[in-house]
Amino acid sequence: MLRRYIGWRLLQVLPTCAGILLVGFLLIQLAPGDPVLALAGASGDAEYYAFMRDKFGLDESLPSQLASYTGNMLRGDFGTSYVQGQPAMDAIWQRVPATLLLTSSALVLSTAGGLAVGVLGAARRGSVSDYALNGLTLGLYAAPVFWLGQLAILTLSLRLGWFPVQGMTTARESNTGLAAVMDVAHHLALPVVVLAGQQLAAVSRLTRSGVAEELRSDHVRTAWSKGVGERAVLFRHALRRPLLPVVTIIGGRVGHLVAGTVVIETVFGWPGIGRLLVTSSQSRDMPIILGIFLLVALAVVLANLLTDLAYAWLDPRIRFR
Amino acid sequence: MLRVIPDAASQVAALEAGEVDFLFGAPGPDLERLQNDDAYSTLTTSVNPGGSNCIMTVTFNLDRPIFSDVRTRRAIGNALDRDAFLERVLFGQGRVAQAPINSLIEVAQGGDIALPEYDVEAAEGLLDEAGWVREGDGTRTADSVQGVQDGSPLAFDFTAFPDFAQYAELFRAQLAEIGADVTLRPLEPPVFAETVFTDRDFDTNIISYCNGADPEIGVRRMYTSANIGAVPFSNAAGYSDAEVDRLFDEALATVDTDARAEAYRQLQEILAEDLPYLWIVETESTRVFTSDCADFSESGHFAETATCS
Amino acid sequence: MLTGLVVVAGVCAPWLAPYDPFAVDGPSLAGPSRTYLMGTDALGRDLFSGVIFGARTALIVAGTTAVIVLAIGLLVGTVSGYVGGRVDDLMMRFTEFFQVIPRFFTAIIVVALFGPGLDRLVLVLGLTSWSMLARVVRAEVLSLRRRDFVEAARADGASHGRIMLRELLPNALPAALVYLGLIVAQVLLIEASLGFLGLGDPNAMSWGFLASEAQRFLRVAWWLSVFPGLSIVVAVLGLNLLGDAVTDQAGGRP
Repeated sequence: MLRRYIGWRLLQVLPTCAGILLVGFLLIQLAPGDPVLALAGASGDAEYYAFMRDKFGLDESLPSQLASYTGNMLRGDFGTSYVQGQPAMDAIWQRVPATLLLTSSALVLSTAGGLAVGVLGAARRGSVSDYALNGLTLGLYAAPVFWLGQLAILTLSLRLGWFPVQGMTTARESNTGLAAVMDVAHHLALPVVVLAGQQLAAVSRLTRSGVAEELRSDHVRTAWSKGVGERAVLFRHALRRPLLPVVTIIGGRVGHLVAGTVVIETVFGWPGIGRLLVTSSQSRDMPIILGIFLLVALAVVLANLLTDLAYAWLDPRIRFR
Repeated sequence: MLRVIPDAASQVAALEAGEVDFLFGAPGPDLERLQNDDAYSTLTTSVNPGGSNCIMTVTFNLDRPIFSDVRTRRAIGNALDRDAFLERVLFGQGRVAQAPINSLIEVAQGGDIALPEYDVEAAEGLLDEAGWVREGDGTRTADSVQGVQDGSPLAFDFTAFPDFAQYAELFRAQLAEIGADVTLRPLEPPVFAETVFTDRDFDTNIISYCNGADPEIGVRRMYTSANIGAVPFSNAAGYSDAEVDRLFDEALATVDTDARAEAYRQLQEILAEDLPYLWIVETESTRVFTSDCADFSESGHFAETATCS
Repeated sequence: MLTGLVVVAGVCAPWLAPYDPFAVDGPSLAGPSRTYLMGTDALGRDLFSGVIFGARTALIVAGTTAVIVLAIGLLVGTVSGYVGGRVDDLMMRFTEFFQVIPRFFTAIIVVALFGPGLDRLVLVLGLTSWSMLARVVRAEVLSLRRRDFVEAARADGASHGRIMLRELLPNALPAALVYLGLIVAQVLLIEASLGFLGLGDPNAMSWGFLASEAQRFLRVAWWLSVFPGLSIVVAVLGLNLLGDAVTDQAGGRP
């Protein structure tokens, strides 16, 4: 049964991907001016425009344009970036590891931290620390990422000097081995915490209400009465069911986190695809913008798919629908 | 080792954290603190990334009917408080321009050149004269202005590199005082070049025109009629004056310094009368380096000569 | 309450703001004082006035996207839930598609292609934000459509359009409004982020624009960052709490 569900779910991904490709195509066609300018940006020379025009078949009919566009995209060939002087895909791939490091760290931190904070709040329901955490998560959830970043730089970096302000590595030293890892970790700390903040708040609120409800349920009361320790009750009994909704929103959270990296990478000068996207969109470097858009959309679709599969695995009822 | 840190405030932070030894340009707000700190030395220079002896210059698109009357152009000149540009945008790094050609170019000095001074009353008077009428504090509208439909507002756009946003913001604020409605259009350099020089799709803009060491290098391109066209950072105004063309050729034809100076003096006087552009400020930038280092040169190749202890 | 504050600030901006937000009225980079409640920026513009007029822009963005989101969400949700079958399947696939499409990145592409401007921003954010609302409305309609009052209307010979419009829509609305608040809050955050990245409309005073200015002066002028950021928090928090409050009113049913 699970296998059939997986097959069905995989099949569903195809129209979504086709739709995303189509959105990119439509936007380029709708943009004012010559589509070659929309596709190749405004910075190229005649030779470059001719190259891009040929590559995307812009002199041909609309359906065959769509065909060559789709063909190029499926091959991961977004054209050559004039500004970067290399194929867009190469320019993007160079930046992917930095972003991946940032996003995955933030995903782990926000999930683990959110669960911990949520459980803590539920266990101490009504106490001062619960109220404090509640206020904090509400605020975190409402605060724009760039602002949290600015505040963090203002206080933790500039005033206290605890963290570096910019970049991924220290410029002066060329570290190797463990020292290099520690150096990156030191630079990573602040952006990850800031990026994780909002999602941590979301997870913790979800966890708190779920766990609080569970704590009132019969099987948890039974566990209490059997003399099971507090920690075991909380994490083994009361957390199990609220975990499900937390898992379901992981897919959506990946989308939020990736959007957040665009801002965070700008604030902290982190050399990932977010910064690349911002600089490219300022110079209208379309091959790069389009490539990042499609890559991110694909990543989000994939994250949603994995989430759904994980959910189906955790909760067999879903497979029947 | 060279590192590009895109954000100015972070550049300073990196310098003070000891991560870097040298900043190519210190951002204005931090400059005073750095100058007063013994740990850093500064070097003020007129060499900018785009060239030397640069003047921030506002261009009028002379193809636009609203700017065909010199009184309107002069009024806008009178409306601009250029000291404010120097103090608030550049934090004092530079000088208010006194002539169309940079004050550091020796061959082109002297003469009776008067650029429009800050005088809001004069500006309002000139606009009234030119047929731009104002009721209350609102935007002026045309009343028998040559080539402009009656009742259309004194509204125009202002294109600038995003890096020059502060100039644009101040320009808009100061012109609002005299009843001109300015819409900002920030454009990245490649898009800017195409929009302004190829498409000529702009009303006003601001460009850092770098004069270079000699007027032949960086001044001629702005004014002669042969330089109107798609070449980036040529004659953006679309200005054409036979006498100015002739004077540039005269200056080029001779090696006699006095004769050249005379030609440049005369053509600057014409330009200051015609005002195809408004010359705002001559910019300087400040290199900052840790005092352990020495022998930085002014140019971008500083690293080849510098030594740090 | 917080939302009310923002609405009042936005509507009454011209009377509340002591200065024109774009006009140069004070000294450069002055800290908060009695004359300049939130200080001034590098050019000498009053930040307080900027923040007030920023509320107006936020209000315009929030209001217009809310209308777009509500219109599409209600239409898709009601029709999908009421008609059911193939139509429902198809519409829900369509809705799921809009759920995965990365809004922030779509907005960036649109700004890159069409240039910055509030109109296209509102349009693209509205058109990509309605999916959650449609799903909620559909769920409501599904639970309502077999209820007695709907059956009664049907027995009276009411047309499908009339049933959807008169019977189902009003009852699905409260649940929709709760989610609308959450959606609009997210839209505000996205708009602010775009402004921060320099992709906002330079001719409309907005909180994101103010925050992007602040980035350059972080070290010398903390107030430029703190106040616009706080305003965004107030607006977004207000909308989130509004959702909670409506939920409580409706008896805990989200």
